[in-house]
Amino acid sequence: MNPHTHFLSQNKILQERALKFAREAAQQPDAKDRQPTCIIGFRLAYENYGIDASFVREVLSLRAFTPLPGLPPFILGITNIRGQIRSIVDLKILFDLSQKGLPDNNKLLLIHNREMEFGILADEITGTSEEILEDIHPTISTLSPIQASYIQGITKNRMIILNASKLLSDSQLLIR
Amino acid sequence: MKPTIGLKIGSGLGLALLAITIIGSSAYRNTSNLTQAMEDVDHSHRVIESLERLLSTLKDAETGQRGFVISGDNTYLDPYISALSRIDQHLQSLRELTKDSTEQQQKLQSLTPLIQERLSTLNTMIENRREVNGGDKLKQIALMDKGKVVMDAIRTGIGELISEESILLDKRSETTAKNAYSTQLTILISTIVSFIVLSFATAWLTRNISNPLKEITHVAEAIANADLNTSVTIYSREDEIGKLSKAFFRMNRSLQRMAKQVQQIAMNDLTLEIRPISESDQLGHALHTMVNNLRSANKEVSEGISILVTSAKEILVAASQVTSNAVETGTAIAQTSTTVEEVKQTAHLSSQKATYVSDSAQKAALIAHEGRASVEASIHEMKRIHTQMDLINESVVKLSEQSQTIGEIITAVNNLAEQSNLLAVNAAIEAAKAGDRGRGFAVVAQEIKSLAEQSKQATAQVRVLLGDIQKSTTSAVMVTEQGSKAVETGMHQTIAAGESIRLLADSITEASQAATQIAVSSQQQLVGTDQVAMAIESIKKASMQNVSGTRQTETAAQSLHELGQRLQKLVENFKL
Repeated sequence: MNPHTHFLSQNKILQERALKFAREAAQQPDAKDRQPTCIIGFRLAYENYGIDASFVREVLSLRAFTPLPGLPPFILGITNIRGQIRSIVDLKILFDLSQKGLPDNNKLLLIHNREMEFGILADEITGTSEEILEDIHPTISTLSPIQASYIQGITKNRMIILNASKLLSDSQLLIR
Repeated sequence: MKPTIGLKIGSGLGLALLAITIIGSSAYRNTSNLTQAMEDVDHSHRVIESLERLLSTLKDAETGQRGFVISGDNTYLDPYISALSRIDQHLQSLRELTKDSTEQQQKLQSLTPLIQERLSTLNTMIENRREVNGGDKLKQIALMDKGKVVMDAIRTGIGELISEESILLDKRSETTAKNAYSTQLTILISTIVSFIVLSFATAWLTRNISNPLKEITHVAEAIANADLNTSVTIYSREDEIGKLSKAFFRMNRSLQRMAKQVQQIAMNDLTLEIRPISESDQLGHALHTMVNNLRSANKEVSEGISILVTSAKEILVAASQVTSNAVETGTAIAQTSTTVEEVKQTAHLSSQKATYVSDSAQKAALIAHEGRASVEASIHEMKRIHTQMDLINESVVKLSEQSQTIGEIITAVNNLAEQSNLLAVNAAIEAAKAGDRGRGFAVVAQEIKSLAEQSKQATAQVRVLLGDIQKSTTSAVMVTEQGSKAVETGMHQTIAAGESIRLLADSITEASQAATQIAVSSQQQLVGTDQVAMAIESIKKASMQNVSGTRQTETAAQSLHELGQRLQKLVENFKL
């Protein structure tokens, strides 16, 4: 790729991005009857994440877990929650986040839909908040394809909203 | 062939020998002739004697027979019987004696039957006498006549033989006498001749050999008496005498030459060169070696003397130096004597000081004893402080344990707050599930959550405070520990100080004793210094004597130097 074509491609990306932001601003006025959604906030690798509360069954402290052999690295293991066995997914490995520092990492968000139910590790549960989902920014283009597919958008408070239904239905996370 | 002395003497002696041989041989020959002649004479005598004996024996037989015939007595028969046997013997001996002459033999042979016949006649007469008493007289007479004839024939034969032999005897006697005479003559003549010849030879030899030898002997005696001025006659002869005289002449000359050389040497002239005449010239070699040795010895002596002169000069210089040194030494010793006097004063002073030091040391020992007592008191105090520190330490440790318990409680409270928080979140979730009806519950949950947050913050503050307390207690524990250790160290140091003070006290006691000893020693030193002063005084005297001695040495060196110079002059007399 010669420098000229590189410059052209950069220009193209910038034009598209500008167009996109302009369209979003134009869309804002006709969102009157928008319902706020309850979001459960948590911290992961010093970042704020959020997930729709309707997919969350409960939050709890992870007291103990059992690692299992032969699993992909992002599956930490299994744990017993009131008599039911649930698997634990470590999003830090899945999202390829840095592992540096020693976060608490002992909280568990139990997410579910009708077919699936599993736990997501979190460093800390920050609490609940009301967000209007239409107001959030869609995913940013600098993310990797994997991250992009699980992220719904980012709020003005710089909270990354995870796409819970996508997470629950993703064949990648399915263990057979 | 040269006529040597040996030859001359030999010829003289040979002459003598020849004369003796001639005389001896002629004498021998004459003597043997004489002996032979004498023997012949003797032989003739014996022949004559035998013939006469034969005749007489026959006469004996006849005589016996006659006696018997006349008397008839048997006793007259004895000469007859003995004559019978003797006649044969005489005949036999006659035959032996006349072997040299055939003529005589033949005559004897012709005589023998006559004798037999005579004997048989005699026998017949005897038989006849015996047969008849008185016998037949006629027969007897006939027989007597016959017997006389035979007897005469026998007498004639024997007489012839005797006369022949007598003639022979005379002839032989004459020859003998002639021989004896010639022998005497020969001996006489030859003796006279040899006497003359030998006298001449002796005279000649004496003149030729003895006189020159006498002369040479005279010269040899003179040489033996070391007189070399005798003139030697030279015989111009080729024999030993000539050679001897020449040799003597040469000997005398070489001896004179040697004497001259020796005289030269005696005159201190060593420049002459002596050449040995031959390899075996011992005297020449000896002189040669002597001159060489004298030369080298003289050279060495000369060198030695020059060294001696130099050395004597050096010794003289050294001796004068030694003298001046001895004088200096004397001065130095006088100074030393003064110094020793000063030292004596100093020793006196130091003795006083030593006594003072001894007193001070005793006082110091007393003070050290007191110091030891105070150190023991301080050790006691330190032990008490140590006990107190231990108590403080225990209290602080207890405080630390209690703050630990508080920390655990805080953790439990914190856990409670955490779970309350989670509960609040879960309540909010449940409220969200309830929709609009759960809104009120959501508010409550929010409140619970904020309470939980607050309690969490409070526990955090308490934790911070507790952390500070814990830090303080920890540092207090450490400080107490350090204090305790410091007290312990202090105690140890105090004990060590006590030990040091004890040692110090001991040392001071020893020092005190030592000081006393020093005092005593310095007293002795004082006495010693006195003795040294006396010794120095005697050294002073000795050094004065030394000075006079060295002066004498100097004089001796001076004379030695002069002697060396004299010797040098003496050696310079030799011509090299």
